Amino acid sequence: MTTDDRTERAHWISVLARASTACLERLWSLQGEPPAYEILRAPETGLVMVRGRAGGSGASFNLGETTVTRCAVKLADGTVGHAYVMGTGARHAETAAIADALMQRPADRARLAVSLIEPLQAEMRARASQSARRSAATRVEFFTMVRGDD
Amino acid sequence: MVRPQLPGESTTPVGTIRPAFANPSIDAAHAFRAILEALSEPGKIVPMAAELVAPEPLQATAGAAILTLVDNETALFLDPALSTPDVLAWLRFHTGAAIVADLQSAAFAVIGEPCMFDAYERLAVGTSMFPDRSATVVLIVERLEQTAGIRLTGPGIQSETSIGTTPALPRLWQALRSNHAIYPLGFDCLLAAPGAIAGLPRSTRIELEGEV
Repeated sequence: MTTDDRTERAHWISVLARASTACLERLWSLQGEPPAYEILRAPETGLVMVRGRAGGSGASFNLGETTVTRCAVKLADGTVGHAYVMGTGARHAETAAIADALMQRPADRARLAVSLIEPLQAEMRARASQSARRSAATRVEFFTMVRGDD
Repeated sequence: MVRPQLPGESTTPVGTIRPAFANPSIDAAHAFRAILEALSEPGKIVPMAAELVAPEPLQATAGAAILTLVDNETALFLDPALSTPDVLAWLRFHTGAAIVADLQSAAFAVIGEPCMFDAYERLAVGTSMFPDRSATVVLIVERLEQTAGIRLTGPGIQSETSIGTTPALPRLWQALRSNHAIYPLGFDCLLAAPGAIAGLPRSTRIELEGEV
C-alpha cells in the first residue's frame, strides 16, 4: 500500500466514522444487497482519552474520555475492513467497517465514492455550515474604546 | 493507536485473520476459570471446551488460553512450528501482543512442538525482588492422562497425583525439577490438549516413578 492509498483510505475511514448515523444508514440502505461478510471483531465499546492543546498550539492536556466503538469485518474474498467510531453506535461501526472493506476493492470503490462517501461529506459540510450560521447569528461585536492615555 | 515496536519483535508478512471468541468477555471468563482451576490444583486435567477455531497448528485450547491471558502489554514467544503467518496474524489482531523472537524476554511462550523444545533454562524465572516477572510456558500436547509415571506433590495436591502426556516429554520433567529447586523463582507451565488443560506451577514437586 503506497502513501497515497493510505491517505485516501484514511479519508474515507474518517468520513464514514464522522458521518451522522441516520445519514449513513439512509445512504447505506440505498446501496442494495450488502455483501457476504464475516465478523472478525464484533462491535465493542471502550474508552479513549481525548487530548487537546490550549489554543491549538499550547501544551497538550487530557480533555476527557470518550466512548469509541470499534468493529472489524472480512469479506468473502478476504478483504478486511476496520472502523473506530466515536460513541456507542454498534450498527454504525459495523456498517462503516463493511464500507471500508468494500472501498478497498477497486470495483466497488468507484461506485461507493459517488453514492456513499460524497453524499456523506456533503451532509457533513451542510451540518457544519448550518451550525456556523446559527452561531454567527448570535455574534456580538466587542469594541474597545480608545483610552485617553494611549 | 500505534504501539512502539519492541526489540527483537518479528515483522513477518500478514496472514489471513480469522475470528476468535464469539462472545469475548463470557468465553474468556470461562477459559480463565479453567486455567485458574488447573493452576490451583496442579496436575488435575481440567476440561476446557473452547468454542473457538484457532488457526493450525495452534489448537483451540491453547488459542483460548492465549486470548484470555495475553494482551498488548505482553511479550509473546512462539516456537518455529507455530510461527506461521496465519497464527501470527491471528494473535496480533486479537491480542495486540508483541511477538518476540527472544525467549528470555517473553512473558508467555507457546510451544507447538514440545518434543523439539529444550530451551527451558532460557525462560524468565523472575528475580528475588520480583519473582512474578517470570514466564508462563504453554505446551501443546495431543493428550493428557492421569497415568502413573510422573508423581506430583505440593500445594494444591491433597496427597499426590500423577500425569502423563502424549507425546512423552522427558525434557520437560527434568526442566520442571530444576525449576522447582529455585522456588520461589521459576516459570509456570500449562499443558494444553484438545478439550483439556493442566497446570504445573513452579510450586509443584516432580518425581519420576521408581525414585524415592
